[in-house]
Amino acid sequence: MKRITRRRFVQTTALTSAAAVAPNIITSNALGANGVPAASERITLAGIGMGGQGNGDLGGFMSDKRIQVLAVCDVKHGDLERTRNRVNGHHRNQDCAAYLDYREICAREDIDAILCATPDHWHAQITIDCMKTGKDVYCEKPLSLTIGEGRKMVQAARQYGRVFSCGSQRVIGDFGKLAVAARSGEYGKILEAHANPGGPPRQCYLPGQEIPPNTIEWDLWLGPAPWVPYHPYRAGRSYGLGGKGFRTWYDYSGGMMTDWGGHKFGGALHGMGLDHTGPTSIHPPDGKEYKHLTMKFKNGMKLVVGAGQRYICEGGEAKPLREFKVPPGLRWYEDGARSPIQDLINCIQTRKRPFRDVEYAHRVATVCHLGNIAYKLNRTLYWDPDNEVFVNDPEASRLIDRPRRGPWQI
Amino acid sequence: MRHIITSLIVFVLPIMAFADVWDDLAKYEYGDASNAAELADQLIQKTPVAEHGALEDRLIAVISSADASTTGKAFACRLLQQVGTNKAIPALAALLQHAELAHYARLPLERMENARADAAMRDALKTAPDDAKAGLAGSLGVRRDGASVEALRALSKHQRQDIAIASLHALGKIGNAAAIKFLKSASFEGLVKTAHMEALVSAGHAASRVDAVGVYDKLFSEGNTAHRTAALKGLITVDPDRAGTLILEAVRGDDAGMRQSALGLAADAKQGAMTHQLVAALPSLGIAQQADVIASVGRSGDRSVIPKLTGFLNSDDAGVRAASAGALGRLGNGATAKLLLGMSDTPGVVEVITTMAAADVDSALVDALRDNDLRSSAIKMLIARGSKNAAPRLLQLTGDGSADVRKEAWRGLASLGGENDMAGMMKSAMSYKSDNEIGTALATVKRIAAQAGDKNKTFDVIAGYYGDASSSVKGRLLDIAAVVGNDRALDLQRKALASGDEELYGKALRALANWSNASAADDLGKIAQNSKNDTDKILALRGYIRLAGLSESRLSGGERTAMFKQAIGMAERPEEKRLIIGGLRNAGTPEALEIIKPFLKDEALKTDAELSAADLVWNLRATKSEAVVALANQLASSENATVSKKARDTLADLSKADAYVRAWMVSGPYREEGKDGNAVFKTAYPPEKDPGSAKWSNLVKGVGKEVINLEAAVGGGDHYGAYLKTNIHSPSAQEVRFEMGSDDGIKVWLNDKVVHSNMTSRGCTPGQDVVKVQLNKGANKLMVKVVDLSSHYSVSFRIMNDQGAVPGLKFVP
Repeated sequence: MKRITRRRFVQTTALTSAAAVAPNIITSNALGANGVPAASERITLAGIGMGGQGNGDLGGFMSDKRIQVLAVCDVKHGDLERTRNRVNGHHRNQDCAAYLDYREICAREDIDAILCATPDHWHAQITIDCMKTGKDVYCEKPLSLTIGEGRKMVQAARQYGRVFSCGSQRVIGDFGKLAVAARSGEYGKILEAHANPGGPPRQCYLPGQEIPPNTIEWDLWLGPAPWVPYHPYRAGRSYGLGGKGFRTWYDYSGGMMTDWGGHKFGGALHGMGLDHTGPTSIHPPDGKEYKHLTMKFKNGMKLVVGAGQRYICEGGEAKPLREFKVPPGLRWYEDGARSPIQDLINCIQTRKRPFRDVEYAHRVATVCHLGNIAYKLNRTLYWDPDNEVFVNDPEASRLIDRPRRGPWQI
Repeated sequence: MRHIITSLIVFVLPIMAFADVWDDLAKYEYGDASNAAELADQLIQKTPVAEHGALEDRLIAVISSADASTTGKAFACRLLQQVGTNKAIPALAALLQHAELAHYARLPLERMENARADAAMRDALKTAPDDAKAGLAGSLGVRRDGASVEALRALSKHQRQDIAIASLHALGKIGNAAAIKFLKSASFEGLVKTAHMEALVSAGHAASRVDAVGVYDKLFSEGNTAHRTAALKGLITVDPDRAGTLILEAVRGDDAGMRQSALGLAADAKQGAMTHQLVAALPSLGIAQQADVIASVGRSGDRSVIPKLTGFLNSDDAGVRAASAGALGRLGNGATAKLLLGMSDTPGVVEVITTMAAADVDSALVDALRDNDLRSSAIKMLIARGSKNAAPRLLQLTGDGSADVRKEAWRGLASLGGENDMAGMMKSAMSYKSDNEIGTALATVKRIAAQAGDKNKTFDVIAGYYGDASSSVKGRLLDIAAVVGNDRALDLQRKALASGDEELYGKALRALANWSNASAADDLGKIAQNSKNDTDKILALRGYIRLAGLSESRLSGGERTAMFKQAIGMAERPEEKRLIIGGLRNAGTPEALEIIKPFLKDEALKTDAELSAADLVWNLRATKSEAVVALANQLASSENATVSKKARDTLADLSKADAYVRAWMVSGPYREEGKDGNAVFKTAYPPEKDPGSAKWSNLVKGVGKEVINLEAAVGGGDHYGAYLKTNIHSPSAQEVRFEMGSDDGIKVWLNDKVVHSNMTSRGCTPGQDVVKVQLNKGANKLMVKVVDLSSHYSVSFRIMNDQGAVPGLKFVP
């Protein structure tokens, strides 16, 4: 299998970049007509990972008049070209640059923020590298591929003073719409949350195939993951664990556990006020005491990875409420935002922390990763959520992070 | 002895069963049919940790073998990441010299708790091929191997940029004295300089407080905006006094990005001295900077700055005033809320007060109701905050001497009052002289009464005032009784109807027509049939039709249909017939369809009738009755595009429903102690390995229209499976699509060959997996295995072609 060298990436990228340069027509949009901020006052954005979800998010950003998209990036040629055309059509100019290598975006000082919607194994590398160049970040969930990556993402955001929101438009609404009521104190003391996002990923043994010309930059798609031969199902978008999309595979994803866990665990833990800590013990199903994967927290609360989406409270199972009072001062999005994307845009301007701040996203992703590790090792694990280490368990500790393929480091 | 025997059973036997795995792993290539890599992984997962040593020996043998394939060695390294120990290090070290395997060798080495792993990678830095060096440097950085600083220093000058960059990053992570000394003195250009600056950031983290100051100083003086921001963040921790000054410099500077970031860092730092330093500098700053600094200070949580920020509420600049209000809202308490109430015209202040979290804000706003100047704003704020505890005070104000105050009080009560306030509200309302004022007050009472839980108690409060009330007020009370809607309220209406007072009769009739549930239907029906007054007849009929369709009526489809049927007999004008036809669309009964049918030929009502009929056939499609199918076919050719599309959708859905396979035999459940769902999926049970011995029975329970509930069919649980089988009789040889859904894993055999396999974890919805297959003419054997991991257990199976359901297929289990 022929491998692509870094030199070839740069050449390809340079060609693509050159193709992106086109006559620049000053439109009324650029000058700030019709209630649109002038181009010089808009937040400039680059989209990285422009598949289905990336394009959906990009639409959310472009619907906000404060955003000007200056560049898009994808290692899949077709997605890249389609998205560039879409952006240019939206802004009614030809200014959107298209890159195969996200480092070209890092190098642009005129870009304020990035949207990262690549497969999971790229999230940490891309967002940290972009934060190091002063860019704010909207990253799709799940935040990370490993617990170690997530902590480094939090550290980079804090050290470089960046605003970082991890996308999950459904955190508030997903947990049976119970999370907001729970956070508002409607259910009293919660004892357990039940939610099941789905299973872990698995190792990929697919055979290699020739890379169809002008379709994908394979080595750059793999990035920090181990080198393996190309197969379309490794990099596929097919949803679920059916073996035709990246979410199935251990090297690139935490499976449905991290994918839906971002929604379901995110909502459940938020409602319980456990969104900035972690469990102290994780018990895989044993057919006896633990019918389902169960996580226990310091305060005695439990997260049961079982059927349904429900809270068990001191007074029994929590019922959905049609109306309830949200205490003044309790808010989810900043300054009247109605979505995580608007929330991030507001926070870029005010430097506040968005609702889906990276620390919250990291804590939720950690719960998902702990679940996957418990499934893999199939025994009870003990976790110190303050220091984010396993207690006396070298084997589990090895799975907190993964070595990265050179030259990728975070 | 007993322990040894147990070990043999638990451990040695499985290894014997997997005897060929290691030979196959040594020859493994991606996609091999041997599944050696997968089997080896399974073996490790099944083997107790204490027994991993023997497996490690086999893996070491694979990676040490001169004959083993590169892929086999790569997978062995992956497995050593879990079970590798000291004894694997020499063999792994040897692979570090191999450009393609060096990364795989680092998988176990980087995560091992063993200094020999450091030494192996450190030594390899000198001798490994260049393609492996960046990765090795990265791993040594992650492990913070101080002994590798010398080698990394040398590599930071390497001609290959990726190696130089990786070495600098590693030096930053190591961050010991030697690394810091080098990083502080070194100088680079271009991308390597960027890496150098980033390494300083990492080194600052790792360094002692004293060393860190020097590191951040260099970074602050030589870095770009991002690096300077990171340096500032570091200095806030290690040298906070100077950091405050640097933040102010950034605030006064020309770099907007730096100013923004610096103030964000200051807010997050929550350091009292720095906060006060910023506040003290406020008078010396320009207007734009003032607003930014005030917003930052507002997030500090430091309440001691409230007095100084209060002064900026009077700024000439609206931006500064809004920023001050925002900051005070975050920091302040009830007293602050009252202060802000006086400037509620300033943009953003309403939002600020509405979201203030301090516990005494509500009581302060209630207290402000005493103040003529603040009352109106206070009510607005109390409403926005949903402060129900303001109701008693508002009730008092409904007796105030000022009409304006009373009006504002009722406005507040409309949102904040509850059924427990009803008595006081009625007493106050009935004390007014002005009819208009009584009307305003009773409108509020009506709003509260509509939401009240205790209807009898609510009615008693109203009824107590009915006897002595004027005719005008009686009309309003009857109107309130309509939203209460209990039996006694209905009696009150009947008395009014029978009173002989024509005006009161009209008001009672209107109240009945607006009734809040179906209990007034009979009274309305009688008036519609018997009244001699045409207007009353129409009013009553319209009220009757309204109640037939009212969701709050909580009527069954049959009851609604019966009411509409009676109404159609009373309706003479097309206007009322149109209302009835419109209401029938949601009745959802076959009888409703029959009522509508005649109007499909009535030119005046045809459009309405078609629209309702199209909705009805859609809602009734599950019945698959001949009447529904015939009408759907008729409507499909309608000239009205909406109608024709809905009818075609109905027909397509009916066709799809035919595609589901519901005739099956079932075998199972199959489960084994210690086997999870994945293992059950891979295990061949009698239906697939020895069909003759499998026990089958007709599938009876759990068969839905689209989904088969296998829990109902074979029992509940987790980590188990079952099989379904049937015969598909096809009128011709043809290609079709199997469209399947499953919770969780599914495997499908057609004529004894596997045509689909998907071990997954998901909820079941039809059509999740699609596979094209070729059916033979005549009988085709179909078998499906479904495995549950946890929770629900179900499957859905339909057979389609491009036109929809495949005609002529028969299913014989």
